[in-house]
Amino acid sequence: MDRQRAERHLRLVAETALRHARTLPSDISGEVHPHDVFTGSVRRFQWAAAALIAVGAVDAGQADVLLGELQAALAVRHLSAINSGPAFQRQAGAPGPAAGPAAPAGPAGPTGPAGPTGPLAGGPVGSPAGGPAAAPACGPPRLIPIGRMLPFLNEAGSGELYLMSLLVTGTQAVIPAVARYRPLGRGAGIFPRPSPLPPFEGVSATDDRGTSYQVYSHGGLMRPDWSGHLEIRPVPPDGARWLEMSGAAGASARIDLTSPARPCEAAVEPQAAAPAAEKLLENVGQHILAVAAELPGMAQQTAAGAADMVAALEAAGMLSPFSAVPGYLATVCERLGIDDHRIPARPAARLPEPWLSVLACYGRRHRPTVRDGTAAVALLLPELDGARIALTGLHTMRGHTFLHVFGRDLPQALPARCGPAAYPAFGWWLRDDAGHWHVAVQRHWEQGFGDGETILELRVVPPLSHETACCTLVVTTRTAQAGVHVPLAWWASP
Amino acid sequence: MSSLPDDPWWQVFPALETWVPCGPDLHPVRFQDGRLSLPAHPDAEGELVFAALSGEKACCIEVAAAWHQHADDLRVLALGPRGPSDAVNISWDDIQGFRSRPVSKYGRPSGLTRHGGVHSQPMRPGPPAQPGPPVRPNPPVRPNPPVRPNPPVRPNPPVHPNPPVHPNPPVHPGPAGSPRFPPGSPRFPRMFAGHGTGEPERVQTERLEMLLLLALGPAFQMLLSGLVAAAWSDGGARASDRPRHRPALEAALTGRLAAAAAPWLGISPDQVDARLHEGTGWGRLELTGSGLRASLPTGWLATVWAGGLAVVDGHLVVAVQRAAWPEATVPAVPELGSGPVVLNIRADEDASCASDRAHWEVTDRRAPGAGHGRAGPSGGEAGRP
Repeated sequence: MDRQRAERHLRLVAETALRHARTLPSDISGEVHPHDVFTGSVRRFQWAAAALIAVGAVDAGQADVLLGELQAALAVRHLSAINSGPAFQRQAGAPGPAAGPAAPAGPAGPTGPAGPTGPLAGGPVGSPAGGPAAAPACGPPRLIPIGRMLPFLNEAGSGELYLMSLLVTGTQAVIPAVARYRPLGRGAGIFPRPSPLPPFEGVSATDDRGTSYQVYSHGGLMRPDWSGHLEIRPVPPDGARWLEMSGAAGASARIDLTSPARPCEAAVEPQAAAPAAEKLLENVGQHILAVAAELPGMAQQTAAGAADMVAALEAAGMLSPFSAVPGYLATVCERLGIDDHRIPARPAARLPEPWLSVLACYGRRHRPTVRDGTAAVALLLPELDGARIALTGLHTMRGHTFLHVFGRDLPQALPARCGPAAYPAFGWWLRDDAGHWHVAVQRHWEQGFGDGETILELRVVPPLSHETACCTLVVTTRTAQAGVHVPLAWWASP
Repeated sequence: MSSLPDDPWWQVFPALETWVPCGPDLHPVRFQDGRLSLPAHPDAEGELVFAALSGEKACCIEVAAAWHQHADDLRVLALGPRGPSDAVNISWDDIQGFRSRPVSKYGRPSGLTRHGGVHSQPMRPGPPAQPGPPVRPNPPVRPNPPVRPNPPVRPNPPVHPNPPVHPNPPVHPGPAGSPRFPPGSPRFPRMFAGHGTGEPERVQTERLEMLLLLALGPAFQMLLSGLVAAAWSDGGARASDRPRHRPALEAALTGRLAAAAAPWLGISPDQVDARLHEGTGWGRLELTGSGLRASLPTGWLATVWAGGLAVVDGHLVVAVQRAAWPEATVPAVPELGSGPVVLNIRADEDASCASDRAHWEVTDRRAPGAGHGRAGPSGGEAGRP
C-alpha cells in the first residue's frame, strides 16, 4: 500500500475543492452561501477521505488535519462551510480497521470526540445524560428473548411498549423496544407532541429477589412512534431468575432469565478475501439501494460520493481499474434514475442476484402493502472476523422494517455517522421465505455502550411483512460469510 | 542541477515594505536582501527576550517571530495564495477579531496583546526604485472605507537607508466579490477557529501567527510562500525531508501550476497534474489526453511562481537562470511541443505599482542553449502527445 499516493490524492482533492469554492457564485452582499461551499467542496473531500480511511490508506487523524487545512484555507478567503469540525476520528475505545488476513494495514484509530458531519447517515439513537462511561466488556453476552407488550402511561400520553429481547453484556443490560403512542381522542392522527421527558418514565423493574432496578430509555421519538432500547440499572445478577417490568395500571411483563438464547449453529464459510475497496463500494451500493425510495436526495448524494470514492481508491492504487464493482454502482444508479452520478465506470451487464432482487422491487408498479408487526428475534451469531453479533429484534412499523443488532468488536473504520464507510467490512442481506432479497444498512447506532460494543438499528429494504415466517440472514465480511436461519414470530402489532 | 539558481531565490523580488499596527502606531516591516527587518524595533531580539519575561509582545515582534517560525511550514502553502488572482485578504480587523474571541478553557494564549482602536491595513506603494539617497517610504493609509484618494499622510518613520521598495498594494476593504466582515464580527474568528474554543494554547497561537503573516498582504504572502518552498528545495534547510512530504509539496505545486498553466493552455485547472522533479534538468511538461502532466522541481515554486514569473508574455517559465530585480534571465516554453527559449525579462515597476502583482516583460529572446554562461537549469522536455 502506497500511503503517499493516498495522501497526495486527498491533498489534490482539497486543492480542487478550494479552487471550486473560489468560483462559486456569491449573493448580492458578495458572500457565498456556506451550504454551497460545503456541497461544492468540503463534502467531496469528505467522501474521498472516508474511502481512503476505510481501506486503511490514510489515518483518520491525518484526514482531519487535511480537512482542517482545507477549512482554514476557505476561511482566510472568507468562504465558510457548514459542518466544520473534525469528521473522521472515532470515539475512544472503538475497534480499529478491519482485521483478518487480507485486512488493510491501517493504523490504530486515533482518539477524540466525534463531531457532526456525516454526509450520509442519520443521528445516533441517543445517549442518556449522565449515563455511565463506557466500561470494558467482560464475558459473552447473554441474550434472552422476550416478546411481550407492556402498556404505558406518562405525561406525554399512553400506548404500548413492545419489548423484544434482553441483552446482558456484563456491564450493561438493555431491552430493544419499540412503542406506539395511542391517538389522543377518537380522531385518528392526533398524537401527543414530542415530550422532552423520557417517554417511559413510569416503567420500573424488579427481580425475583425483590431488587428494584431503574429503567432508562434511549431512543428517538419519531412521531407518533418510538424506537430504541431500555437500559436496566444495575445489571441483573447471574443468579436472578426473572425480571418483571411494570407499566401502567398494574400491567407487567415477566422475563425469564433462566433460558437465554444459545449461539446459533450456522456455519461460517471462509471466502476468498475481497479487496477492502470493493467491499466498501459494495456497502455504498447497498446504501444507495436502501435509501433510494424513501430518501432520493440522500441516494443522489451517496451516488455522487461513490464517484469520489472510486476516484480516490483508484488514485491510491487500492482499487483495480478492472474491478467490476464500480460498474455495479453505475448500474444501480441508472436503474434508480440517478443520472448525474459521475461514477467513472460503464454500467455492468450483470448484477449480483440480491441487488437485482431489490431493484426489481423498486421496479414494481404496485408494491404490496406491508403489515406492521414486531418479531421477537434473539440470535447470537457465530464469531465473524473476531466480531460477536447478536440479533436482538426486528420490527416493521408504518411500512419500514428495522433489524436490531448488537455488535462487539465490529471492525470499524470510521464513526458510525459516516454511513457505509463506518463498517466497511460488513454486509447484511436477508432472504425471505419467498426467495426475495432484502438489503440491510445502518440507520441508527449507539456507541460507547461498552468497550468496543455497538447497538445498531439496520434499515431493511424492501420491508418485511407480517406474513413472512422466516428468513435467512446473510452476513458477509471480507473473508467469511454466515447464513443464519431466522424464524420470525410476529407476536404483536406493530 | 540545482533547483535554485546560483543567485539567491529572492533576487526575483524587490525590496518589500508593509505597515503593521504596533501599539498605538503603525510600523514598517521590510524584506530586503533576503531578510525581514523591523526598522522601528532596532533591538528586536532584546524585545523578544523582554516579551518572554513580561508576556507582552509588540505586534511587529510577533510578526517577525511568526515569520521565522513558519519559514519552512508547509501549512503556509496550504493556506496561502495559489496565484495573483487568489485573494487572501486578512485585515488587521480580522486579527483583532481573532484576538478578542472568547477565551478558551486553556486561557488566552500568553504573549498576545490587544490592539486598541487600530483598524488599518497599511499597505501602500512606496516610491519607485531609486538607487542612491535614502527614499522615505510612503505613509500608511487607513484602509477602512471609504478609501480616500488622497489619504492622510502620517509623519514618516525614522529614515533608514531605504532600499528600492516594491509596492505592496492596498487591500481594499469591502468591494463586491471580496466580502469583508465588520470589526468585531464573530464570523471570521469562528471560521478560522474551526473547532471553536477549548483548543490547546499552541493551536490558537499558531493560528494567530498564520493570520498575522497573511495580514501582511499579497506581496508578502507570495514572498513567504517562496521562502517556504526554498526551504524544501535543493540546498534548503528541509531538502532532506522532502521525500516524506512529497504529497504536500506536489499538491502545492499542482495548485499553483494549475492557476498559471491552465489559462496558458486553455484547459481546465482540474486537468493539471504536477509531480516533483528530482535530478537534472528543469523538468518536463506533457499534454496528455487527461490534461497537462508536469514535472517541476520544488525550486520552481520559490523562484518562478513566487516571483510572479510563471507566465511571461505567453511563455511558461520553467526556471530562473539569473535574477537581480528588476531583471532576470529565464528559460521558458512558448508552447508545448517546443523546447524552452531563454528570455531576458524585466519587471515593469510602474505596472507593478498599479496592480497587486509583479508585471514582467520580455526584453530579449535567445535560442535555447545560448545562456548567460552561468550555471543554471537546462534540459527537460515539453511535449504534446
